[in-house]
Amino acid sequence: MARPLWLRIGVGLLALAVIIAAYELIAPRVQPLPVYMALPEVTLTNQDGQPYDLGQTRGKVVVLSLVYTHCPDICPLTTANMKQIQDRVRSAGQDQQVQLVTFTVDPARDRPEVLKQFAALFHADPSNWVFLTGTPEQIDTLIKGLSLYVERVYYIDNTPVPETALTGPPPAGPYLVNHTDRMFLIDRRGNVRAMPPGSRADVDATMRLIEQIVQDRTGGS
Amino acid sequence: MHRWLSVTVVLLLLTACAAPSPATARIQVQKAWARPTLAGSTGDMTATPAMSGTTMPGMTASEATSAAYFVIVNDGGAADALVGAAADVASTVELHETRVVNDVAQMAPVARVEIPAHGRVEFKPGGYHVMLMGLQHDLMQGETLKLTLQFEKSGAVTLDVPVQPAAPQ
Repeated sequence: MARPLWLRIGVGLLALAVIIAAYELIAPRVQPLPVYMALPEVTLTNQDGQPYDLGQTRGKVVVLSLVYTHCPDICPLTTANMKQIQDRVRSAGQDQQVQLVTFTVDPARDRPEVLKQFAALFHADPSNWVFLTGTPEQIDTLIKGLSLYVERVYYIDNTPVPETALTGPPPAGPYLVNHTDRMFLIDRRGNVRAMPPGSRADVDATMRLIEQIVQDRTGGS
Repeated sequence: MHRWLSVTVVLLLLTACAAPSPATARIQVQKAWARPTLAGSTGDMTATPAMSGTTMPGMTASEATSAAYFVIVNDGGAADALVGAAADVASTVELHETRVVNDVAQMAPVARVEIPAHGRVEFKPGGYHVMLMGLQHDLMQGETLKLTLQFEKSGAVTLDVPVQPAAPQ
């Protein structure tokens, strides 16, 4: 005895609904990334001494890091991680879509020629990796816009003294800079979408975030 | 009777010889290296007279900083501690530890680093290091600096530290 047509269609639709529901349950979910803040639009100076407007990175995914070149321990680790990211981005054929930006939090000492030498030390390819400095005010705009912690630490009689604890003018001689140890992953519209670790980065995890932002065509809107 | 007495004396002597001596630390320092300063980091892997002592614009040698790394191995049965370091090449030489606290990276001085018995402690980027500040000249790839480590029990150990961009394999 043949079943009526309406019954066969109903059973088919029910089976389809069950399959869709099961897929929704077991399929891996990628959570959309939040929008933390906008990358400040400020014009800085690149390693060749040329103006570099951060706004010109719109339309590309940006991997942003911060360094100071007198940093003997942490910043080399961060920059080595950035180099790994540059190599991985190139291997993925995405070097036209992903721009790497490293800026100094010590503009008084890190002039363009210093940054150029620092970049060469890490074999940074300038085609999609720029190193930026600027006036203290310009760098401060970026520091505040990204809510970074940056503080000089002076050495007085071999004792580290944060600049906020100084009772007089800053002493001559070497100083270190305590700073936020994060990278910033920025979408094509200039929105910060992720802030993975800098010197202690898990490069595989950071690459997955970069890939997610590259694939996200909505730009976080 | 004399025979048994002799055997007993010999056995006692053997027992005394076999008894463990007071435990001591036996310190070795391996795989030492120091980062070149920026002015010494590019160009050839070996220092050249033309590059020696140069500084980057905006940087004087006395502002340049570096860090030294190594592995301390203690083969002895007693713990020791690294309590200081000295180097002629820098005005300030300190034991430091890199810490990331609330996402902020900072290099903090440490007074001592314990070296456990039959243990090892690695000084490596992102962790313990000897900070060299106020360098008298740029550290060039290929040069060697003298670094003296002061241990609480083992005393001073002086190393020849090669300047190179990464740890020796």
